[in-house]
Amino acid sequence: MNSAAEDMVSETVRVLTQPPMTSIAAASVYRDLMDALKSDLLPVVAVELGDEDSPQRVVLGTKDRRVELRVTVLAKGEVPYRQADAALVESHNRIFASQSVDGLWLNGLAMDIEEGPTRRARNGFAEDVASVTKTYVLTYRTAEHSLVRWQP
Amino acid sequence: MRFVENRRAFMADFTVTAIHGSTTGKVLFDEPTNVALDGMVSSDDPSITYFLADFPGLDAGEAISVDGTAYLLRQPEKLDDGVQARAGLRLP
Repeated sequence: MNSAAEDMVSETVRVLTQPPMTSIAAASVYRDLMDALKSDLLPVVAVELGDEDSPQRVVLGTKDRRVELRVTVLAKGEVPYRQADAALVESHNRIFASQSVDGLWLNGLAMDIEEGPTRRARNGFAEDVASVTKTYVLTYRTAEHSLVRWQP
Repeated sequence: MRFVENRRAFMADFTVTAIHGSTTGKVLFDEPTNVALDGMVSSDDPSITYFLADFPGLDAGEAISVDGTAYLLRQPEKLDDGVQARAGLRLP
């Protein structure tokens, strides 16, 4: 049984790969980078969970939780931020297009998605490389003493 | 006894040929793999070390051939007493 946070990041990867984005191949969307990628593989998108604050008991019997989701586009080229831009825009649009008719997000897993800070970094190697990381804060609900998806 | 330094002798066995415009000279070429961007990307990171007097006017953005491979020079940085400089290289 997965935690709701794990389900949400898996769903994010699904949203970014099915159907494949036009700007980046589905095989180039990674869940958690455990090791440095060789620059030959760029551009890629990496999806990972971030930190999670203490939960709030808004409703008796449940807890509302907020976890960071980080989506990073890695690209290379003469102007690597420009090379990253198409995948950045398409990834962002895919995530915010995941809202269903009941107002929930990511296949009903998240109650809300807030856009957080965007971080940019670059480095000069034989080719210039850059990362653009967008942070989202996902709000979700679990039973009071559970980490799994809450189902009323 | 005074020690007479001869850095050209030190470089003699390890250099490769570099060509900048009509100038041909010897440079030390390094190409380690480095990791950057919070450990997310690794790549070859080529650079040369050379005597400034051998390549007068060589500056950032200019084309240079190193051991037969074409590169563009990144910003050179003088080393120690300013007789030599090191500069990163990028592919054109």
